[in-house]
Amino acid sequence: MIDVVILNINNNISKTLFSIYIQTIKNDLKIYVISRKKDKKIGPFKDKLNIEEIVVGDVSIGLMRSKGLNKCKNEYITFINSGDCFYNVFSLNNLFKIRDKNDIIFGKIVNYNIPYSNNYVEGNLYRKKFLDDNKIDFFDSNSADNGFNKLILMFNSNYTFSDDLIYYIENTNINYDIYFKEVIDDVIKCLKIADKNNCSNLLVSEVIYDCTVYLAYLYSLLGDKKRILKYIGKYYEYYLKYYEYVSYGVKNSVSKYYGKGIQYIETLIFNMFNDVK
Amino acid sequence: MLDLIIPLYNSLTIDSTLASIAYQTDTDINIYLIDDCSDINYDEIVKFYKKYLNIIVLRLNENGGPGVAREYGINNSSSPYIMFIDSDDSLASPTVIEKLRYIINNNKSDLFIGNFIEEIGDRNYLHNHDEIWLHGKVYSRKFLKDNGVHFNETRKNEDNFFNQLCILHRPRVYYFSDVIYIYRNNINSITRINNHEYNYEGSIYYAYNISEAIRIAKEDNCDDYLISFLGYRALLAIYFYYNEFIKKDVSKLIKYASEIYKNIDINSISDGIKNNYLIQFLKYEVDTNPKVLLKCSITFDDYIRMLGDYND
Repeated sequence: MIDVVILNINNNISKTLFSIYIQTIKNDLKIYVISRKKDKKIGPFKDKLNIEEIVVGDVSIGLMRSKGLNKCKNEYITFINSGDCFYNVFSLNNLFKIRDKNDIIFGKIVNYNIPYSNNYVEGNLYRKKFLDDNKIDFFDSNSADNGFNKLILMFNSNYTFSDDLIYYIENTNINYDIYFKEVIDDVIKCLKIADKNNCSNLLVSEVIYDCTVYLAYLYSLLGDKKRILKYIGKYYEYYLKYYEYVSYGVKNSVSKYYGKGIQYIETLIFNMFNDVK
Repeated sequence: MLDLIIPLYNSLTIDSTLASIAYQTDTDINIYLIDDCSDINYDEIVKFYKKYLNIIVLRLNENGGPGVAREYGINNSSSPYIMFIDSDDSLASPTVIEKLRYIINNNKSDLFIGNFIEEIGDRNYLHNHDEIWLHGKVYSRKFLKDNGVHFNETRKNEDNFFNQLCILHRPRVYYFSDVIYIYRNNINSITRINNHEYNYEGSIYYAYNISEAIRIAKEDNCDDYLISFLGYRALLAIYFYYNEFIKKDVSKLIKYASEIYKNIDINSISDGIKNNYLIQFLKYEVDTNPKVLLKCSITFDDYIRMLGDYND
């Protein structure tokens, strides 16, 4: 039914495995734990859950998720990071029961300042066939989640949102400087793929706009902005190319997603690009 | 600060219950497993979870039922606060213990009442500030001891006896809105199988336990209005049982209901409150058991008259 791919880079995979073990549909799960080195904490759970550990060495997060993704055979896949938890016993079933014909079901993150996000993959449910048919995979980077979701959206996926609380984050340490550069690199890779596959300009522009808002939001949080200005400069050219396709409806829904008005969002974007000029 | 007491008798699901504790962000608590002479050996499961949790296993010398097991757990634990978990249920989220610790540390109360979810098939029913079941509550050990609140030896609805006795002694109650407990749909649980015979026996124990709780509350000079308030609610519940089991021997239901009736002043309860209770009962039945059609063999007023006229 569902493959669970665990990115094992933080401590405390035990809590994550317990949160999977309490799921109402635990007997329909296959778990792939992707570790950089063998983790002794997993062994005791092998009698309780259908687990396979894959040791990949010191590689990027994107590559780790990719290794897990490519092992998956079930109809749907979900991703979780070690140390994080599925929120309660119903979490995975709550995602699964509303899958309908959707390619992504976005789960609600309990304790993060944005309840849903297409910038990370945790807590969402993905249909394997859609990923395979469109050859969607993770880039080899540490911000690959963002690019992964963007690709899916550019390929005209069907998606829906769960109203239920799905995912609890334990670890939120992000080095925004490195992350920012990698996000931009991955989005540019996505745009090149979208070009090659003749993805609809409307869809691409929606994704670009959403990504730009996210970058502008991150940019506003950065202390030292100067180091990343050159990357924003590179991104600005793509933004200009697709901005003409961005409808008022898209701006409205993205701004609602961040809980702010359109003017606020546009101001964030303006401030970011203005610093480049 | 907090002891979790879990009665254990041939449970096939204790593993999941303990997993729901092990995934907590705060596991600095004591877990008391009270083995009520199970046929199943839990040593391997306990050994596994002792790596993650502070578990103390206590074994009864003879099988006493969940009430006796919980009472044994109370008497052999020591933290200032106690929470009961059934061995087929779960904590509701990874932050339950963390939240409880915060709430307890910031509010001086004898009883903390949160919310719990009842899993019914593939639907979930939210119990909002329930005062009947043990689920979703934390009790002050001092309050229980100072007021003689205890479990008796009955094997059904013993939780009702405990809770009603507790509430009748007027604890300082702090209500909070977090869902902290999930009452699971365990298909192996005898209380979940649509076992008419079990429910019939349960109804008699319910009536007995409420009448006992009220009797003790009267002896302890608890507030008469509160006794009438809770007693009326119980009479309403027994009225539904009476109609459901009318084709069986309902003499004990009537006997215990009349004892409740004689210990309360039904006229002190306002019509508004009576109507509210009726709506709550009907809503619960419609939400949880919609296929049950209640054909009343007697009106509520005639039932009350019957209780008043009852002579043992």
